[in-house]
Amino acid sequence: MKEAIKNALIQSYKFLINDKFALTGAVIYLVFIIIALVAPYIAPYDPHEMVKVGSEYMFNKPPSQDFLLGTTNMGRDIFSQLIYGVRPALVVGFTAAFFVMVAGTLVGLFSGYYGGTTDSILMRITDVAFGIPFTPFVIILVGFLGPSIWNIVLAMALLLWRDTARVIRSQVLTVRERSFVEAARVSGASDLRIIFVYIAPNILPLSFLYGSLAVGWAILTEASVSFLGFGDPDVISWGYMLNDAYVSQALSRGAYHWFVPPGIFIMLAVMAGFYIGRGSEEILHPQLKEY
Amino acid sequence: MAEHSNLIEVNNLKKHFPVQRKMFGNKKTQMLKAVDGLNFELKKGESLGLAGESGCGKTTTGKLLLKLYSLTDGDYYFNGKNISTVDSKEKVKDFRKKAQLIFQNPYEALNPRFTIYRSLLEPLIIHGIGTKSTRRKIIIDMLNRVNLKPPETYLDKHPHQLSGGQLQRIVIARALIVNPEFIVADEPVSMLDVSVRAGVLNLLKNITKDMGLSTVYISHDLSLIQYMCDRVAIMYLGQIMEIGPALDVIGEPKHPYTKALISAVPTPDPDLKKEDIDIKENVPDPINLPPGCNFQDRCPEASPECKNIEPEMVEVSKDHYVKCHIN
Amino acid sequence: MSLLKVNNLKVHYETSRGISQAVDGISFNLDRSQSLGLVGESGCGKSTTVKGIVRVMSKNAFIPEGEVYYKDKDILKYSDQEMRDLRWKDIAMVPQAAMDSLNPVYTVKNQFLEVMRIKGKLNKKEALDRAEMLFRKVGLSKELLNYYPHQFSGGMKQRAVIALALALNPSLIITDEPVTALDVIVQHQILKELKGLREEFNIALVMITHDISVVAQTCDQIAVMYAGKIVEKGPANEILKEPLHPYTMGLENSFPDITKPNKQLISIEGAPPELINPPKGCRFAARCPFSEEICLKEEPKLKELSPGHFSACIHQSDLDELREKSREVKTWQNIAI
Repeated sequence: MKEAIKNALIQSYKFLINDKFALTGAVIYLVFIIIALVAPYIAPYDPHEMVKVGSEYMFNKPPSQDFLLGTTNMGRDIFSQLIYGVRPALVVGFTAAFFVMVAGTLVGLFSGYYGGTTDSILMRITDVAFGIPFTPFVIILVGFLGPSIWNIVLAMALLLWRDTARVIRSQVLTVRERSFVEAARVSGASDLRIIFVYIAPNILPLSFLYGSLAVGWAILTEASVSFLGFGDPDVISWGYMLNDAYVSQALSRGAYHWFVPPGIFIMLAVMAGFYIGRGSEEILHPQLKEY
Repeated sequence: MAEHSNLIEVNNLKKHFPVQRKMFGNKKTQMLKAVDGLNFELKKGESLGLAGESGCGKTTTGKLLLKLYSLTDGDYYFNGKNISTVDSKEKVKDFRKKAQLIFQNPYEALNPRFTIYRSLLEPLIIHGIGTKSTRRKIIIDMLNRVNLKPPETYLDKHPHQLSGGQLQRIVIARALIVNPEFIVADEPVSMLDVSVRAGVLNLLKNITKDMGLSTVYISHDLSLIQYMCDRVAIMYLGQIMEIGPALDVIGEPKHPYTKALISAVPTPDPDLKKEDIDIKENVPDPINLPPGCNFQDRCPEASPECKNIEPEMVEVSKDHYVKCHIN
Repeated sequence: MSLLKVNNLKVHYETSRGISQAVDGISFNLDRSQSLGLVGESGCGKSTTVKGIVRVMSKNAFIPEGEVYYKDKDILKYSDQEMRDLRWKDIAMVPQAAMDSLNPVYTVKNQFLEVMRIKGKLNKKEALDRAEMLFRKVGLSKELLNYYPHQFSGGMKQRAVIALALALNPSLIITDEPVTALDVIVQHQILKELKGLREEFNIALVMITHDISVVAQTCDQIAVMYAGKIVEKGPANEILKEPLHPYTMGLENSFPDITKPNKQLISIEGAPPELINPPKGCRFAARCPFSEEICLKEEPKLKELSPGHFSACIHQSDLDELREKSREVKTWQNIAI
């Protein structure tokens, strides 16, 4: 399994190098990760700090040399907020995607391999998950458990695995029928060995792909939830910034410097996920590249 | 306990698949009798060919013999032990070590993400054969035996880097590396190029003989079966119509179906005038077969008796049995 | 007058690694009364040859030189439109796996009428009559015309496809592995019918197959291809009984024959050469048990050794001895060069 994951990663890497869109996506994520790591060094202010020059609070300042993107109506530096906003976005995106990938892949593998009752039960649960509207579910669950960023991640992980599970299952159904799986059975391999040693490596690229799509979805959802005001009040995320801007009527005041940058960052993050997903054809059919 | 000269004995082997059909809006489950009452035995070191048109149940029979399907009915003795009902994990695994399959399509039979070394290592790991240090040698020896030389050059290759003939040799190596007693080869060369077929067939023929293996060859090609097998069973709609020594059955076929099959096999000799037997080409619906002989619809020699009474297997010459009223 | 005359035809492929000389200068003649079997292992260029003749090649294929005369006109000079008019009406091609080429959403009848009314310019009544007649000829009842392709068995589909190929009364029909996927009884009957139809409608036939036995039953001429070239061609009888080229000898060794239970199968060791940079001399030399120094340097030309029977090999006199030797296993085990 370790080897399989390594191979899948190597393959994903090769694919990233070869596909321009995927490469763009990966570069965006890479830049975001770097920003998140060095945020305290780039951001000139604490994003929560109400900046005071002398005795004057810097409310609603337009962009200037001191405040690259101006300040909010509470006198907080927008640029610093934007930079620090990368952190919750990535945390939400990657943790949610990780759980989605693991849960979806496991459900898909077991459902597709065993078939019969196991499949029926798992797929009916998936159907239920598909029947629940995503954003309202997250909002309600967060409202119930309390507005923390981890509850948002949990709420998303509880639903987002459904797409991955469905797709992985259908892929497993075809891989399961290939002779090399029967060959494994003939050589006496146990069910778990067949699932994890023979089938899983063949569908791992697909789960990585769905994982990368989930990153985008999760960031977008967190932003929507925060924008609607159900987000974690202690964490400054891009969605929170948009909400803040909206509530203080930045739009009618024409304070574009406030709401456009977080919008662009959200868009970039989501787009990066989809760009990586775009090359699905190639990653699913590695043999195409051999010729 | 007495030594059994028969490795395999099957009595009344049956496999029926449920099929859902809509009849006047009612869903009705009917039984497709893919294999319907087979009796035969296979001696140690003997090879048996299963021949017949597609849908005759030859592949299903192969899978039953490997316990890849459960039996609907009947008994399956392997080495004198009835294993038709065995399902404990340990015992099935033990059986898996003894009975191996050679696949039709070598391009599909190997995990595309494994190296050749890994593919051959798998059965050794599963059955705990050898130690970490000796396994590499076992694999290299096996590659030598299937004529992939020098073996070291194959170890790190992936399946897509090899030709069909080479892949099929790897598939054979994987089957034989656990030292089985019994092999099923399902159309082992039909996906291969003509010029390499003979090589793979000769390899199989020699290596199974050297290792004293019992083999079942499944093929629609009677000339191949004649080349590879000691005995042949002609199957039709899940039943054996004729079984006996390959030279007898193919040289002097007794069943009208066998005769028709043989007359249809093309030969490379354009001058050879063969008796041309015309039979209807379509196999009847295997569900809802009428009473009597399964072959009655297409049989050029059918009599009223054939429509009512199912014929018994009759021995027409030594070890040569035919299921037909005419004999 | 020959119906089809192929002269030094080359079909090459552009690949990422260079130009593959898939078909490299082949020539043959076909009279209206003749049937030709193109035989060889996969990758020898037999399918590419006929695709080049009717110009239905893949995008990266091109014809660097050669002539293809159909009724004395060089059809390689035809425009795409002229070629479209010629196909089906004059030269009908039944590609490999043509059984799957029937459109599943139309009845077979509709597919017939479509072809005959648009390409053949028949009215509906005439077209229907002809469709029924052709169905009868290929051994299908006319009721089956109203069926959808998925209701047909493999043999029925293959028959329907053959009937469809005959729809516009062509003078040449080209089939690529027409019976490969079929059961032996169906295969036998279809081959028989193909032969009958050919005689009845006076159609020339080119059949591509890897199976020498199939050709033996259907064709009177054989061309054996190896690595993009014809290595031997001539009357079927002679080639099957007294092959002149070592490759043909090897090919005949590799098939089991139901009438000869004691025949020892022998494989030809090795693999065909790369066609991107093919060897200079004879392309078979590296696998040939009878090859000599000169085979690696000079490419042998096709030479007529008996009337109508050509072979491209330096061995032209000691053939009885070679045939004798070629039936021994050890001959093929130690390849000289």
